Amino acid sequence: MSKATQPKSFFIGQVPPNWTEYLQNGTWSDAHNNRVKVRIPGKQSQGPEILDKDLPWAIVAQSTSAGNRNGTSTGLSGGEWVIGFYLDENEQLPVIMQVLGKNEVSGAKIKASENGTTQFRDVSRFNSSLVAQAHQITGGPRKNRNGPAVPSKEDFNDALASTETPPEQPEDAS
Amino acid sequence: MAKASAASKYSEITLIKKRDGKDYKVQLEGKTVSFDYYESIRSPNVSANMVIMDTGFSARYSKEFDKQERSGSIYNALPLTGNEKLEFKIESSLGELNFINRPLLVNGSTSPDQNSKREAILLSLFSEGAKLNSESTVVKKYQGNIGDSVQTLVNQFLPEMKVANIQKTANAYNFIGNSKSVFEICCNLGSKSFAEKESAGFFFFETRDGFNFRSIDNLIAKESSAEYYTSGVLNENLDNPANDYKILSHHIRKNQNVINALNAGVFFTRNVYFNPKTFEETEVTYKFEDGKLVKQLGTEVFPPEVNAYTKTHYSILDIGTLETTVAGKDNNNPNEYQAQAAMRYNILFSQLVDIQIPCNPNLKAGDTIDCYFEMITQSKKEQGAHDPVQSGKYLIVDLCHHYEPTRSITSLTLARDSYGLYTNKNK
Repeated sequence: MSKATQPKSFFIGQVPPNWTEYLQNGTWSDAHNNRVKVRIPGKQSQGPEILDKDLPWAIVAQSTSAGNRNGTSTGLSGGEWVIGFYLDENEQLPVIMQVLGKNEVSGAKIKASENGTTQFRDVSRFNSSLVAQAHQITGGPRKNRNGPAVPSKEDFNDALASTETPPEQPEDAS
Repeated sequence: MAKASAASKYSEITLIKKRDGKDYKVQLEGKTVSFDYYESIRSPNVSANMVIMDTGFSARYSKEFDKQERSGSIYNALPLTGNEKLEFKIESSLGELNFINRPLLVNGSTSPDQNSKREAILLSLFSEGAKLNSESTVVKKYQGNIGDSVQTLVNQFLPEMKVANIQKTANAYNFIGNSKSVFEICCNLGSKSFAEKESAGFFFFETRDGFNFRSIDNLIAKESSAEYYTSGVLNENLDNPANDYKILSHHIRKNQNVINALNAGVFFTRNVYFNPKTFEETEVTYKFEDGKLVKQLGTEVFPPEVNAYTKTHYSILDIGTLETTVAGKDNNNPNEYQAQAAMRYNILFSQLVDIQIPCNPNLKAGDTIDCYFEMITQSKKEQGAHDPVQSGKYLIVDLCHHYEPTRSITSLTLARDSYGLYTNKNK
């Protein structure tokens, strides 16, 4: 009798920040399938029993638009919640199928794992592995087209004021 | 009746319940109608069933239920609510079954026959390991030798439980617990394990000596624990010890099932492996004749002539899924064990015999015994009365020591992978 109460194959899990093959400096011969690590509630714990580094690498299944005629990045950089399934009966080989939509202003709490785990907390889109670029910032003048965008407090307030119903902001947002 | 079949002595059989922070003990000698103790190489924990006949005066109700604290039957006065401890020691002429220091726990009880003067109580019991297993949730990553991982799991989740024999494997395997229980994982690891110079296939099981993780080949190569024989007559003098080793009854439950064996891929398989890193697909066929049956119980196996593969094993290779780095190292390639384990497990159970013998508490699941069955012939038996094909070494798969007021019996399910009296393959 299986103790895990989740369905045998399918899972919802979280990709920890900084654990993609690209960010872990995977070489061409070692890396495969743009793998990312995944932490799965119900299978792995929140806590320190299993750290990000010990999580399984999950192969990322891409859309057919990433076939030989195109080829694209998986777009996963860490913090995303994903849906997938296991390739094997023993649930050791995870494959990620889709990413769950995310509303950035829902209250991101952390930018990197703390003590080796996210504890399934909400991870900022622009976390330790992905710094916001100029083209990803809406509102405010671009001060440096090539470098990371660092909006000033005024830029931020202007952007908030430009919306009819400004979203609720965390206290330390600036 | 052989001496070993005579009634056994309950030196101690005590039910213990925690009541008001203290141990409340009830002696069950004289009340126990029957006691069955079970072990199996297919079960990770031992268990038992017992029947008690209670006429009252066995236990006092607690004040909480009865202000006068009158006496009553165990079922309601104790009361039996599960998780009580049973310490017991049963002595027979050939040995004893001693669970004084390792009591079994009550799983549940029923009272199928209750009237105003007496009641029958049926208790089912399990070892503490089964409870610890239910409380276990394996989350961590384990790596390296599978035998070492099993030892670590047992130490971690079944602390202070006895360990009989945990064998090292020849292969390593990295895995994560995925919140499964310790028994589920250890039993599952058996089919992924192989030992040096042995066929693949291990069993994780508990005997009265503790937990075992042992290869099939290791079990069958062990020296026989006893010799048993069938005979239509008893040896003269009822106290003759030879009568203690007479098979009281036997029946052959199974002697091959070719279609099932073919479907299980015992003799000829196709094994397809997909490498998710290189996208390479590999196909390997595996035949029984390839000689991977390293050790066997008898002289000869007679595989049927099979002209095509009868089962396909399909696996996706684990290429560095649990590595900390991106390096894609191979993790326990199923080509090393999968087809071989399917063959080994199925061949082991190709012959099954149920026997009843005078009680021998020294026998344990996983032991081997030599059985000598009578030859059925019209010819003279001066040159030996034993059948040279059916007789030989058998592995104890399931075991039950049965005790009742007038007799004590051991029932065994024996398995055998081959035919004939002797083998020279187990050196």
